Amino acid sequence: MANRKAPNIANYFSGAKQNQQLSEAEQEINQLKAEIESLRASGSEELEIQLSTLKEQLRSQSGVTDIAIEIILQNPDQPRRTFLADSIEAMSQSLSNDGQLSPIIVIPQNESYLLFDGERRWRAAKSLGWETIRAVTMDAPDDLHRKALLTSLHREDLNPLDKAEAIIREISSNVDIKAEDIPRTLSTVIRRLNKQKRLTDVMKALSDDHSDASADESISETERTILLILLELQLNPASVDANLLPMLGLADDLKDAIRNLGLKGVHAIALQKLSAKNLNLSQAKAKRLREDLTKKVVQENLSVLQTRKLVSEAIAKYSPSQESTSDVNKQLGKIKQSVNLISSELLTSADADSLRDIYDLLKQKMTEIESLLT
Amino acid sequence: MMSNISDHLDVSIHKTLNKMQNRIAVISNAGGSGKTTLSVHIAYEMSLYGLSVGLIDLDPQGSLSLFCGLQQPEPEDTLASVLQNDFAGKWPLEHCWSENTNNVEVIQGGMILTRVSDEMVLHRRGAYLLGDCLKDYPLTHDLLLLDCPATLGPLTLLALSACTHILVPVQLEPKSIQGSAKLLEWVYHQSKQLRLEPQPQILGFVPNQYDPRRATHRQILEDLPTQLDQLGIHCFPAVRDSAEFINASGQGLPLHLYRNNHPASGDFKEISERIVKLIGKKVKRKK
Repeated sequence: MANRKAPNIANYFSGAKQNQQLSEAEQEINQLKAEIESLRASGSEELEIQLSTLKEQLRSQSGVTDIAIEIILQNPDQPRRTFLADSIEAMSQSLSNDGQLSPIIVIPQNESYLLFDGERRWRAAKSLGWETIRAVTMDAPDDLHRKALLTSLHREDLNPLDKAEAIIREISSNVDIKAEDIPRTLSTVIRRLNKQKRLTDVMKALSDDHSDASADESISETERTILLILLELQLNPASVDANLLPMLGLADDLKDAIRNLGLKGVHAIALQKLSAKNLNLSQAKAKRLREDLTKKVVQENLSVLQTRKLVSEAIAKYSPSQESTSDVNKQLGKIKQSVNLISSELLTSADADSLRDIYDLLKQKMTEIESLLT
Repeated sequence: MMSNISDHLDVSIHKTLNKMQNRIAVISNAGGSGKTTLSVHIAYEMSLYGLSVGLIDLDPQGSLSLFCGLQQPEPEDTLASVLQNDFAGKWPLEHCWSENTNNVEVIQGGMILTRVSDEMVLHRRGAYLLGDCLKDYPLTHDLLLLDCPATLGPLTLLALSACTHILVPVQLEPKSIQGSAKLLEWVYHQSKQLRLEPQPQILGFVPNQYDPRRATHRQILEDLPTQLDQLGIHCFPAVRDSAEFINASGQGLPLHLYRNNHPASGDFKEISERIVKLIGKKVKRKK
């Protein structure tokens, strides 16, 4: 006989429960979206007022002009990074129905214009196939580049090559020095301070108190200004010298790969070793090999170590003798440098254990070398 | 800051809701669950509070006419005439129980609604037709009650998109309960798909025809509130099973008018008070 059981009505409602939880979650999402919108709107109100005052001023100064859309360049520093297709579409409709109600603001720049305000109108006009857009122009603020640079330098998506070029541009517009001389000048002062073991102290003095550092006669006026500019950009001069400026000397095909293929700076430096001289090949052949290996590095997402190995293998293949000796000599050179750094001050300030360690190590190596010399 | 804003939103939603006319759709997903009985008795209860009610019949069966003691109408005197493109605001309102009250008016249904339901599919605003009419030509009643057919078809969709609240009458039997659970899924799904803003609130379930002598009835009545509570849905006290409901409907009267002081008419007390509170007017029930 069948067991008499009350119907379990909880089963009936399980679907409804799931459904309700889903729609509650969706409602919550929608509510949060609405909150974000209203927060955004309230935050931008003041900015909107400032912008429209500015627009009025510019309109009376220079008037509104029609500017060809294609010579207007997007502001790389546009803080608003996302533009929803919907909102562009809405703007397009408004433009085609009501025309352009308010001019955009642009900054003249060489042959073109930099978009300062009105990216949504500009994009919408472009999508409508307009050829010109009404705009007011304003002069570039003196420190525009500095400001733009400061924000973009610390953004991760800017590649080291662009960073390096931007830094050179910033320095050359502030210091009376040729752009091509900047890397060498920086390198020299860093190396000199490093040798004197004063790099950290000088940097600290420069960033804390300028007057103190200006009394320092070991660095020239130009050198000090360069260091100061870097520090103001919140960059470490030693790191700029070691990591960014070498990008400027890269072969054109490597620069191209950084910009268009997303090749990393360190990898580019490693690949740079594939020069005609190191490979013992003609310029054209060396370039072709470099391009092939660059592609491989990017496509297979090779690590720096793997890349260096790949480069050594290539060099060993085309120019075996040169590679091995030059590599060994370089390593030994580095070791000599380190050993040279052992000064009497260093030794007197070390404790007995450390001294014993280094003594043992050096003695062991000496024995190995002696056995080879005899 | 976030919570301030959401408080603010809550308040503003509340304000709009309060300003809006209360429209309760009486929906169930099974025949014989007591939709029309519930609609009629709520309508009469409201009239006792001095509140005006519009009863709208979306059911092709037209049983509301029967329950209200009205003749079966000509097609042009039904809701079908409202759902036409040329509707100009002349709602086919009929007074009912007019010897006893001035407060209840009916818009009748009938077979003609099956045609409306077929045509709706082709209409561009199909599912929103009733809501559109109410927006363009508002009815002034304190409460509208939308009595729906027993299926979740196009006519019920009209009510869903036009209502602010939903009442679900159920029999305390597995078939009816299961149907009501499916009904909830349907409501959540359709509200989303029709992008109803704000979504209609489920005012509660009303168990009907409760017979305490039946074990199943007792068992389900015990379990149902717990299940609904997990969904945040209220369960009103049960309305008892009584032959007098059937007799009253045959006479076209609410139980109150058919058998004054019958204890079953007291079963609508909590629902009525809840709806009066919803309407938000300060009123007192006539003794």
